[in-house]
Amino acid sequence: MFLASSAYATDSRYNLQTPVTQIAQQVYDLHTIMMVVCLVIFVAVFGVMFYSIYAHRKSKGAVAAQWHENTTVEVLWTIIPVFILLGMAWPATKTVLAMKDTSNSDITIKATGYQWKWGYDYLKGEGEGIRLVSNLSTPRDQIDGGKQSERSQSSYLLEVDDPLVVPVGKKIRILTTANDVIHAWWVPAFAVKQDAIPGFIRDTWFRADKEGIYRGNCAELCGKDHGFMPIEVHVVSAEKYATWVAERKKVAAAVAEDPSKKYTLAELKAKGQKAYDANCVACHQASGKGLAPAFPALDGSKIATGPIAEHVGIVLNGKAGTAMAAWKQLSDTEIAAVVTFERNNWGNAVGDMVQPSDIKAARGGAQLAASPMPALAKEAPTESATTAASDALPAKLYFRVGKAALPADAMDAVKAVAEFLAAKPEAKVDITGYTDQSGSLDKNLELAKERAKAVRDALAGAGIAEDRIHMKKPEAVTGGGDNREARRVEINPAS
Amino acid sequence: MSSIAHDPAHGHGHDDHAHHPTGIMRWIATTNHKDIGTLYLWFSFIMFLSGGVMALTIRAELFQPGLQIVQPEFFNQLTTMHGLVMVFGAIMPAFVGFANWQIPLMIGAPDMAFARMNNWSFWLLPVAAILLIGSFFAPGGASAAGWTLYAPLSVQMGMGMDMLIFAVHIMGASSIMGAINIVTTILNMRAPGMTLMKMPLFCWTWLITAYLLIAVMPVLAGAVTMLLTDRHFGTSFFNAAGGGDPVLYQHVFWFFGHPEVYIMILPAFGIISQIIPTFARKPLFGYASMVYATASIAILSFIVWAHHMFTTGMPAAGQLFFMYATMLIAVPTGVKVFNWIATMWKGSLTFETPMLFAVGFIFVFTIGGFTGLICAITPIDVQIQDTYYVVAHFHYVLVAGSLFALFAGAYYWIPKWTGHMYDEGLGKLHFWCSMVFFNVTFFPMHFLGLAGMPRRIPDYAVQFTDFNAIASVGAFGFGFSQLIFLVIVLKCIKGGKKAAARVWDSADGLEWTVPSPAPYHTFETAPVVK
Repeated sequence: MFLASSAYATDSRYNLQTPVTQIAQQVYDLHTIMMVVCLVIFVAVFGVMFYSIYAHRKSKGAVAAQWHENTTVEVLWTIIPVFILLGMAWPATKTVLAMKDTSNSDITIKATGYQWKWGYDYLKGEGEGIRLVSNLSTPRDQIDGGKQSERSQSSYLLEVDDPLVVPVGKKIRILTTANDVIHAWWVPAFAVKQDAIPGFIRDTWFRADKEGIYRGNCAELCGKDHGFMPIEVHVVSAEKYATWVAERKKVAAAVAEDPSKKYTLAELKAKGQKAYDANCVACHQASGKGLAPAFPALDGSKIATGPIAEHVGIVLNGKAGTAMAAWKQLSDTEIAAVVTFERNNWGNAVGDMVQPSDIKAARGGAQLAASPMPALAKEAPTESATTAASDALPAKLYFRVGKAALPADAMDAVKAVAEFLAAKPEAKVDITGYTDQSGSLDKNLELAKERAKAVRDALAGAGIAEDRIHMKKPEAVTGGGDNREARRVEINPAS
Repeated sequence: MSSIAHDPAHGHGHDDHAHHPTGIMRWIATTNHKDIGTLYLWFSFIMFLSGGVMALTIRAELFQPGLQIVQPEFFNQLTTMHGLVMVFGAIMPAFVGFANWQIPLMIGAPDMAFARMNNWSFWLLPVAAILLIGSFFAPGGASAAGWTLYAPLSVQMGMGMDMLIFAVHIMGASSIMGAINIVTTILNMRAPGMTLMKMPLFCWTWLITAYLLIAVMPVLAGAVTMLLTDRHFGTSFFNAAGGGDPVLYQHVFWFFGHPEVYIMILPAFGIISQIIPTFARKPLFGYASMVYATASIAILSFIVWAHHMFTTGMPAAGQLFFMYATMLIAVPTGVKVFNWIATMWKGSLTFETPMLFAVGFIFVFTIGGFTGLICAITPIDVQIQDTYYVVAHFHYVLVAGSLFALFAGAYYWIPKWTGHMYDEGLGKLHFWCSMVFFNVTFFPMHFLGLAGMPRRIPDYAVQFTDFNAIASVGAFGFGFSQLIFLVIVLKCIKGGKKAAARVWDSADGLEWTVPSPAPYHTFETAPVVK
């Protein structure tokens, strides 16, 4: 048995953790009041029962009375509890309303649950643009069969490699979502627990009053390593936070990857090992043997030794109906590296590799959806995947929330389609606008139509006759994690 | 179980009915409510032991931090299957077993209304159980999505999940048929003179429970069917990318799930309401208010489901509505507890094993009731949802509630079933061991939950070590204590002091007017109730 140290030292092991937000303090007090009221009732009611057990025993010569109802008493013990409940509901209601008020936040951070780690995007406020991923940093061999004495520090299973950092005294709004299954973002000291639901955004907030390190866990069963995806929040002073933000930005600028850089096989393998250890090892294991049958082996697998395009596809998009999630959130370099690593490690010796630029092309995204996969060379550095004209269709163009103006980054796609149409004078295209489903349907459809028109005008501006462009009916759809898919205009070959 | 066989000495003029098959065919082909009741009870006890083995494996792994005995994936399979086996295999069939044995005897009916359907309802269960337990051996193992089977995690599972879905369908069909049988029997086959408001409270609670079952089992079937089509047939009920919503699953599941909680506790209230008056030698206090309280709990159970979902991010108005509605349930539940205590007040109490379990039930179940009230307060629930506090809460109501009531009922009626008295000394030992070890197991879990230990995790932070160790020790004590019960039942079937027709001196009701053991056929001529 170990006594907790450091962060937990001041926490009672019999009660809620020491609150560091006002809401947590209210919850703590509510719980205390409820406990006291319940205890008083409990003692009173069972006092009566145990007195009866003591005094009204047959062995003591008690003779049973024969009465069996009393309306006054029965009405009383129905009405009185109602008033006690009203007394409890009043403060609870006030706290509920305070908890739900996520307006006027200083900093907004998106927390994304992955199987099994948390990713954070600083969306608004100081630190905007910072992105980090918190992996469990307790070593695996300490969990599996390590000695108890090695686990004696209080952060065992509650420590991460890259913690969330927030300033003290600021209102932090947390948006939660998930990549695969439902997770829940929970920090007990803040009294914040919010499910992270794939395809939806939920929000919650906290304002920590005290600097320190606060720890929590994923609170919704999310598969094998549900117990191993902790949350670690460092609450720091405003100055320290500013320093941290500046450092982060500097580091981010320094390591910004050149997407067209060509790596050698050895470089990719080394980077791939790192990405594999951070993301894949939990299921597929360090040995690459997996945990059959839910988590298949990569060593000698058909995918990892077969056509490279399929391998990339499965890493990017996951496999429906299995535990293999989509790994779109990794960078192009990481995916290129990990795929290359998997094909050339353990017993696998395919000898080929894939470059970040190929991954970028394979993603589609703001560029044109690339199909078929661009050529992937063996051994030699690949050539940059040039956008062949035939790959121009179908094209997806993504718009900003609520805007119908064609974003600058979509112009390349328009140009490519225009070139394609110029080369094939008999070809015609369909244009469909999409929006999400939040808010008024009529307004959304109007927006989708405006977006489609913007694309038509851009094509017309590039010299395509309007009779070759057919406008389809706009549609409102739900569009995945950040609703990006719902904000698109699609250009398809005319049906 | 030869002791239950028809004893010609208790001839009652219809000996031609007694020529039933013997040996194994007697049990397979039986349409007799007593045989079927016995089958249900043995089935549920076997499932109780299987679920118990899973629980002990879980507790063994949690004895200390680190992974020692099982791997996380298998651990999740164990928690999932422990829940499903205990809910659908142990507790629910056990209450149906009591209903089969006791309802015809208590209302003066010769048998259940649909005797052949009764046989079918039972024999579906072993098939479902084989599918459920067999899924451990399917590729990928059993489902590891938790007994609540939340999408999209349950969509990721292997073939064990499909076996589970099929098993749930079969068990649901069995429950619905059993419920229809009970409703029909109670409404149509009561002895002349037994008006509804003269009916024993056990029959009342089962009547209401049966309606709950008919209302919600199809909802569960719908939920798992949607899972099945999401898994295999390209639908997107619970998949946002296809226009669905994972939270929809939770709404549908808990619309079944919350009434399900009362399905498992209302018949327990009924059993306790039979036992307390007998051993207080005093009529039940507030019979009518007991009936109304039971009905109110059943009705309220349909408007509180989303209190299981306070952290999904519903609007404040939703949180407040479900908080208020949930708190209201405390009122009728309180009425019941007050009535039981008022029944004991100024009685002439004795404490045979059934009474010990009944009083133990009131005491410990009420702790579960209070923690339920604390969980109902939304802001507190946000803190303790999905922690060990919730695990403690629902084991207080399902183990100390439903299970203790089942034990109380078993000791109360087993002399009627076997014709022999059980071993009183062993019975008391069983009670005290169960009571003590139960609290040693589950009371520390309140502390673990408050201090921040999530549920359904195979390994935990070191500050939770000592309470987990205590809970694990308690769990093994509790598990092995149940073997005492097995010994008592086997001894009681084999022999023992002959039981009189009226086993308990002030027991009231038609079941005590027939000899012990109850003959194979009873009430072929309806008794008249005045």
